[in-house]
Amino acid sequence: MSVNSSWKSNLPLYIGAIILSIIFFYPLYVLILITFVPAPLNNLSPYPPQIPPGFTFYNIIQAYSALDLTGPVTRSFYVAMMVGGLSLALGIPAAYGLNKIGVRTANKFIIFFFLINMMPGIVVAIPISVEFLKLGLSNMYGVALAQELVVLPLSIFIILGGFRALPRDLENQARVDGANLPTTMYRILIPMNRSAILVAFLLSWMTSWDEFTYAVIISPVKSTFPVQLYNYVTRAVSFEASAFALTFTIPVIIVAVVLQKYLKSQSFTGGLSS
Amino acid sequence: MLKSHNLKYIAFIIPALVYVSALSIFPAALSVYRSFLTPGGSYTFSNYSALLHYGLVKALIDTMLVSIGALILQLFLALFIAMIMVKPFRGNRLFSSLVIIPYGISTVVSAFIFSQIFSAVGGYANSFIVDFGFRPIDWVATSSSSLSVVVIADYWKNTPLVALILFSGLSGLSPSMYEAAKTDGAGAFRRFFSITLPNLAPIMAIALLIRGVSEFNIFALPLVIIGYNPPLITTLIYEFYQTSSTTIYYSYAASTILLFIILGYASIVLWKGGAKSYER
Amino acid sequence: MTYKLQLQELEKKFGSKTVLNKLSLDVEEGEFMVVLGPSGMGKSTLLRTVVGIENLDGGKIIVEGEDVTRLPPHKRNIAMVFQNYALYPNMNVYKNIAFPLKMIGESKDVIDKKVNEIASILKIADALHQNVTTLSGGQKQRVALARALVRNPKLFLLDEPLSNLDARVRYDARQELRKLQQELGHTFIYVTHDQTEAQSLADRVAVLHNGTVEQIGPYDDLYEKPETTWVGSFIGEYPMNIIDGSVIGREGSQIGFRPSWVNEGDDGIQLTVQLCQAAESGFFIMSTMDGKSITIRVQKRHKIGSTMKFSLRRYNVYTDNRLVEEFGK
Ligand SMILES: Nc1ncnc2c1ncn2[C@@H]1O[C@H](COP(=O)(O)OP(=O)(O)OP(=O)(O)O)[C@@H](O)[C@H]1O
Ligand SMILES: [Mg+2]
Repeated sequence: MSVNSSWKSNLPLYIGAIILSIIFFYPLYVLILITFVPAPLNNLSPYPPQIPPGFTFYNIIQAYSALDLTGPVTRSFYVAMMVGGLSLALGIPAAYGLNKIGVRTANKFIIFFFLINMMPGIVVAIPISVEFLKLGLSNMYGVALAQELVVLPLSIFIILGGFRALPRDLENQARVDGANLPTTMYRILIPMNRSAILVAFLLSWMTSWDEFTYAVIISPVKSTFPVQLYNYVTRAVSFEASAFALTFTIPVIIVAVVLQKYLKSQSFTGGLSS
Repeated sequence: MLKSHNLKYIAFIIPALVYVSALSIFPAALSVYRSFLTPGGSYTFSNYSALLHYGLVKALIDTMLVSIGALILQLFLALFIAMIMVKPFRGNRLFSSLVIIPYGISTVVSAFIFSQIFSAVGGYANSFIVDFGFRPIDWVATSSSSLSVVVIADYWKNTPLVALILFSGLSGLSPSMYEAAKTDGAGAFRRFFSITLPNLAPIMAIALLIRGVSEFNIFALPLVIIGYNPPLITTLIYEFYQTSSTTIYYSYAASTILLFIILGYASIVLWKGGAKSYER
Repeated sequence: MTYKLQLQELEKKFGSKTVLNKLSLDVEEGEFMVVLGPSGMGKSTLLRTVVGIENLDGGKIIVEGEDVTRLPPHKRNIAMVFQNYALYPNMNVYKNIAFPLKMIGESKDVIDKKVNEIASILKIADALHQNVTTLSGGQKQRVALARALVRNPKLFLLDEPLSNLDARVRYDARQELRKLQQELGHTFIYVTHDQTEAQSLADRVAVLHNGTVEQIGPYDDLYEKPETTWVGSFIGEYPMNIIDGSVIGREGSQIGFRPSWVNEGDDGIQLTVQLCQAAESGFFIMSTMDGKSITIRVQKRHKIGSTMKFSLRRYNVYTDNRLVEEFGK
């Protein structure tokens, strides 16, 4: 089927695409409605209209002046950075080692990591929270350490895929040229594998930015943005919360769209499926 | 087969192994151990018997219902999306972006949005219903309607991932199979049921495994949308954890049960063919 | 006499497959040693163990009298040019060549001087700031060579460095390489499956078979006096003819002769012409005898299907596939 084939033959396709687009866009539309329509006309009225009856920035201004913004943002940002960093610190060496020990043995480790990944977050989070309290470890470090559990297997897998695609002799050549292993890593292997590493970092970052379970259990107050949002929602300050939610969602949407090409590629879904 | 010089390279994997052991296996083991303790530190089974009083069985059944409902809904939607995504047409990129976006949206944000759509009184869903002249529905009045809301809310965030997995499976199918079927006179429906579905089955199983486990652990969504009425297994655990230093031991017991359900499920799926596709 | 490199009974297995089987080899200072063998015989593996990126299962590697068997590659100071050049794609030509110097901590000025020097010797000075992915095959080969030469290592290992080039460029590169090696006086170990390269480059050729050096010597010696029937049939544009033939006093032996070691005549061995190929030096007649194919060179053209006779001017006698005697030399 070519791109230029007629509208008529593609009609069912377009109808399907449009219906699905509506189904998937509608919730985002609701978020935009709540954010930009004056609250009394909108979610404070019993049957809010689907077509915006008015427009205002009041909700956003109100949200930004009344709610604590900088705290959750900075905390979320730092935690996401730590999680991204941890993914690289643990993932790059692990992927390097796995690439060296042969595909069969490596696959066994990969299975192990993905199995561990199935461990319910809440089961793990509660003892961690209790132990961290005992150790007096800062909550944000605890959250980052725990969230890393979610992304480590996928990070290892993505970076491993990158290493597998590199010509083996590049590393050997560097060793022959007089570089020791750390130098070879830093000067050759990491720069050569930078796109996989970047993707692993971004995915980790994004996952942490969104993560709720570990964050709310390990650090229920003065926490990251999703926990803060949850607190606002339970206190029923919904129109400010929506303004809040929308602004925090925009960067993630951008990252997701940027990563779209990669997300659609085999290496990502391959990571989930093998 | 591990040769001795391979040991050197295993060393690179050790930090990651130590990390998951310390932060995943060890806490889980701690949960299991403490589920047999009283707050005083002596051994007991009372944490488990207490769970029965607090509706563990119903929470498990409800969790199961939500998981199955969500899996069916997501698989269904994802199949449609993936089949559209593999077709080259004007607007494919726009469509792909649009359906992938929710993957990037925080679970709490999507929970918040759906709590606005399905509020107890009013809400956007009821606006529709009232516009068409029906009586509004109190979504959280009964436990079955509450669970339905959770199932519906869940599609938004999680269907994209399933669609991506199925998409990669569909793009792997060779067009020549379809050409052959067409020349044999198979119609679109026939082609779907005799080519697409059987060939997609293995990757669907993988999607089911990944999503099935996460559905069972679903937490943020029910917590934000329906609170503890009715509780799912995770929200029940969280409630115990929050309530008091005594009930935290109930949460350990419930955690242990959840853990073994997940382990059982995963090992069954892995045994039944998953392991083979891993080994390749 | 001290050797530049001594390999003593090297052993290497991949799983149950033995690739190097008690291989020993001595290389002299300033020598151009070519290791010749068919594809898959372990030539690359040999170089990789010498340079240290592949572990040995047994044996010793001695460089300038020092045992380096247990040293990691970056401490051996041996340069290697890989089969596919392995240029660092994230660096330009200059940085590729400078890399080994940087690793030994040379100063910027020294690096700059040496890189420019070697680049002008190898005629790649114009391409120094080009991206390596945009280079031609010949340029890539020169960059790889420059990177090996720039830091003055004890030994150079080259793994089929010319095999990716087209015929004309390969011919020129071969001449240059030989000249360069002689001028600089370096010790080269050069691996190839191409006999023409071995012939035109080598001081000595080591023939690899079944994981060991089957014969070593100047190319002409290998051609004239192959010590085993295997070397005889491997070396040469046409394999040496090996036929069963009892020589007096040596029952069950074999006779080996080159296509050119025959005289056409009215009596002698008879054969039916199956193929007749014209060449500069005469006509090559192909036929079969006792189920073995043989090739001889004569001065007259023969029709396909006709019969002819020839006698041996010269031949070697082999028992148990080993050379025992030469006749008619
Ligand atoms: N890492 C490895 N694991 C298993 N087998 C290997 C490995 N490296 C090489 N081999 C095997 O060892 C044998 C020798 O390989 P090697 O690359 O040394 O041959 P070669 O003589 O260089 O061949 P070519 O002329 O094709 O380059 C081959 O059969 C190859 O399959
Ligand atoms: Mg080779």
